[in-house]
Amino acid sequence: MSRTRVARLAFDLQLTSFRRAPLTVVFVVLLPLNLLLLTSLFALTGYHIPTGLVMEEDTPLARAFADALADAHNSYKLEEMSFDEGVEQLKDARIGAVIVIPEGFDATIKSGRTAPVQLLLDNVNLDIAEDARRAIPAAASIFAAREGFQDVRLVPRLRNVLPRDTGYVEYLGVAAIALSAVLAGAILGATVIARDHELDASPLTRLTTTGPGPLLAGRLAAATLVGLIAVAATPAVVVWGYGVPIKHPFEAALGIVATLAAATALGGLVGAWLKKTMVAVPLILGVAIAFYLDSGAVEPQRFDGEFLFWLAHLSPTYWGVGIMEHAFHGLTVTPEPVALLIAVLFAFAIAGFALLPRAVRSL
Amino acid sequence: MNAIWTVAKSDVKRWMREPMLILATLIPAAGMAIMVLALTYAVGRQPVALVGHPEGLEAERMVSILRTSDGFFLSESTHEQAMKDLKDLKVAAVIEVPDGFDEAVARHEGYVDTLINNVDLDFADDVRRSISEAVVEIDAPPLATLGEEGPEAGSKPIVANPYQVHVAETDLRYPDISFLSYELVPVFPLLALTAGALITALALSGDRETGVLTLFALAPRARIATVGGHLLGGFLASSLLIGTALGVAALTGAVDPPAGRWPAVIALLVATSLSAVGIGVVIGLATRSRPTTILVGVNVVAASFLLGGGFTTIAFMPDAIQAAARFVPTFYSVTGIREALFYAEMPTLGRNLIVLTGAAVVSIAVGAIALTSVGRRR
Repeated sequence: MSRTRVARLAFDLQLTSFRRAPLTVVFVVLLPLNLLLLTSLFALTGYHIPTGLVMEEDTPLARAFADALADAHNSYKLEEMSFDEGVEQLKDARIGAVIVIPEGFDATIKSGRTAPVQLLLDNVNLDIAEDARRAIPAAASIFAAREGFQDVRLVPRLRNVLPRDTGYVEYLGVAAIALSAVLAGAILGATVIARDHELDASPLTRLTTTGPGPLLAGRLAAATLVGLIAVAATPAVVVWGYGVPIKHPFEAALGIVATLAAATALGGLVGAWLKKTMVAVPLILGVAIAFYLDSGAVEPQRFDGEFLFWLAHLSPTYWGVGIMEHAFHGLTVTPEPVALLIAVLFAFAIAGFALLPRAVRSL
Repeated sequence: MNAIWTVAKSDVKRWMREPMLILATLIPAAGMAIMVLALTYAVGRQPVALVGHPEGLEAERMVSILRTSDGFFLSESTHEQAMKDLKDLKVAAVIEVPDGFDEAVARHEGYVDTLINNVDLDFADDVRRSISEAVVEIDAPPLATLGEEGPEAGSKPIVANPYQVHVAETDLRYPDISFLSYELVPVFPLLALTAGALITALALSGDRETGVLTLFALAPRARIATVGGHLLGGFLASSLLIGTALGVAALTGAVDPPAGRWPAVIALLVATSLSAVGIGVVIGLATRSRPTTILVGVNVVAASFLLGGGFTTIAFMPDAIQAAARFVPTFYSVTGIREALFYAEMPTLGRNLIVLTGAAVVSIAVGAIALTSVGRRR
């Protein structure tokens, strides 16, 4: 029997096996979706700190300062409330800060003096607390510029490389597609190979006249195909749910296939190494989520320092995130060009598939 | 009681005999802890390049403020090198203090030029805020040094400045809670979840695959022993892991609750473990093969962790997400432990303990009923 025929047969048999275990496939489909939706939650607290705004007077200058706070680089989500309500919500950790614009604010400024503003802060999360503090001078600067205060001697001149900012949810959502591809591919690859060992079927793999290569290639190709179906839901959610258009659809499709292929091959190696589904799957999940945070999914990875930047290169998620951000938003978030990112993922896949027969022989 | 203990002992032994399974239980939480540690170094600070260093007192001050800003990792370079670093993503922005800075400041026309790589809003806004803070510090130092004044900052006298706004800050506590301490909290519920839920679920589905579950289901006493034993086994294994992790965190100072709060922290973690093993009982009985068990398990663990506030502050989320989080036991665990560690009062402690324990009781009851139906089907 030719190698191609063996591979095709193995492909068909593996698909039949997936059809017989629909629940397994359903949960492989659910996991990427699950993570896509839930990691997007992370974005919602990335900015716009819920803040109680206490307006003790409603005058033009008080309103102008409130507007400056609202425009201080997406820092606060302001909600007007009474002082007592603000303090209560702050103590109950329902909001992160309270800003009080006092009575007499307008008159004090009009008389050329400096008006006091009160900031009550829940400094339990340093990241959020520092954002809230730094937004105050930003708001003061915006306020002074809008009101034309003559004594201000210097201003920040802020220019951007790109014509528009990319929202955090949109950025994270696109990155989560890469995570989905990695998880679906790696889990399916690992399950296919480890299940052989669990069912004592691995010796049969070694008995084929063509060697285990074509057999494994066929089965992992089927796993990649099912992975593709599993991952297809995530770009659909990003495009139609989050309203993110795809700039380069072909690149996105190629990137998903490359990430899946690399993850399936690497997952197969993990399955061959661990020999048990119940060990391989949590291990893959744990490592993938940790590497998701170290992949450029939150911001270009190099901004977190050279060590984390180079460490990220070990995971297909880094390469996948780079492709997805470019394919969807046209953003460059890795120093490597997109062609290289895709090539590296296919190299991961080829190396994984090449090593797999040897790994399976040792089972 | 003996039967329960036998099943529990067998589960713990099975788990301890498989180092890879222990590793798999530990990896999600360990991975999270390592990443939190790594992110601590970088959180809120962005790498930027500073170019231009003109002569003059104001320019000198400006450069000094930028060098000491805790919003940046600052490197100083030539304009060409800085632009190359911006393109290579080595820096997020290029800041330039232009020639003739002092003269421009004297004319009230001074500026600090900043070119930002705005690929995503979050860090681009971090840079914008930090630059504004540095610029404002020239003429209004108190306005730009919020959080650095100590616990009495709120009562400092008003200092006049050209922005005509003085901000008095009052914090809920002193000093600030470090990012590491805050983000380390969810690691413990995650450990309880993975250990408790997965160990119990896998033990039960293993029993189903080998037929032991059917045998047990035929005798009423054995049914209770099966559910109770697996519950105890999962609880003991997860307690062992959490105890070890918490001990290490306490010894290194990573977890340091206020006086008298240890009992609350321990009670919450015990209740979290119980509810996690309860979830494990349900998953183990609902699934028919180990691969399905593990897939259901990781879906449930991931959802519970993320929706429970693993990466986020749920109170800051939209109402619908807050409502959904209330159905997830981890939410009560993370909220309760953060409250015990960082807040002056613990108004929700009782509710958190009741919900977590209640979730465990309900899961066990569902497990016992499910086991009965296993027996009936046979």
